[in-house]
Amino acid sequence: MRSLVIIPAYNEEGAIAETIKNLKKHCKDIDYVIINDCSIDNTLEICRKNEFNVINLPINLGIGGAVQTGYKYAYENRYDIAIQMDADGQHDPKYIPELIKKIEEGNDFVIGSRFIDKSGFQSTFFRRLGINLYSLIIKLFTKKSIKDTTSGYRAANKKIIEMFSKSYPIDYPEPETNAFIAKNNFKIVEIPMKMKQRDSGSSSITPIKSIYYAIKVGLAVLLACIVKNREV
Amino acid sequence: MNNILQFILIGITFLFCVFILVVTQKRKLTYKYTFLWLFFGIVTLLCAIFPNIIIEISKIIHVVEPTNALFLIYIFLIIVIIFYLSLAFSKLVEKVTTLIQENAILSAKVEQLEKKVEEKSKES
Repeated sequence: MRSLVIIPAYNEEGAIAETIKNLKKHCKDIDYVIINDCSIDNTLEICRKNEFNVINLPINLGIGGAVQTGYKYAYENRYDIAIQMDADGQHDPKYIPELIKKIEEGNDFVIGSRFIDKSGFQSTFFRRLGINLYSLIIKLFTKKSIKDTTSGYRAANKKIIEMFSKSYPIDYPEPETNAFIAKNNFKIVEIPMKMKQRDSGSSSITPIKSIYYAIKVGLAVLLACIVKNREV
Repeated sequence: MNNILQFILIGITFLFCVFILVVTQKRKLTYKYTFLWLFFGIVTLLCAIFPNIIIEISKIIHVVEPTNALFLIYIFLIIVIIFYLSLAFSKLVEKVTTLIQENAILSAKVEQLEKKVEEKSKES
């Protein structure tokens, strides 16, 4: 099966080259695409100089729009599996073969989770609080257990690639899409992995925004859980 | 309502309707929204010419002052229009997003093709 790694990048000049080098070290022949979300630093120049496969968004769309571009690219180029990975070095490419294997075994969606083994970087206290809250909502409404609801390290099969290419939330999309997938009876599995603290760059979420996001995303998760079978 | 207020209302709404027609004629406003605002204007014009409409409505909804009934109805209408605009706006955002994404994917494709053509022409 053909696999594509989707790497959204916004101002990642310090990490992107290392991330791609790492990726090629672990998965020699895998296809990847970097989505440069109109970075204001030298991310694009670095990608061009190193001849990375990059899609350059002419206008900043935010993380959801960037990732969706990757899914659209995967759909148009008929990839069977899409793996979503951060550009900042938090996600170790050595887990990619495992993610692919789980999809090949017949799962629809695989999430890399840092909470199964409870090893590696465990995120900040408040973020964990949010993650657990979303996890609880999903559990209550769909009876499915997803521990790491905000993990951006995920793999999707063809059906979900098509779905995401048509509709994807705009900002902070992971919890909402997880809820939606759980609600619509796709087969989800979580695999344990260690995540690192970011190499460079800063989180896209500032403290002031985080409360607003927590509530907004909570509501979105709730809606995704209640509303069944949105147009797919 | 006294007569002066009535005349002012009739005058203003009449100008409002003319303005909407002129703007539409210059193609600055889509027909869809022309109908929306023209409807708004014509209803106001009717209320201004026949104030009894508002007086009767205020009796029906148990508002003592007809002017207050007018305010209430208009605030409600404005909220409906604002909500309608939010819907239109959301749709627009989605369309623009799709456009940006498709454009980015296409230009990446064109770039790759250009590179291939260049390599081919170098070979031959």
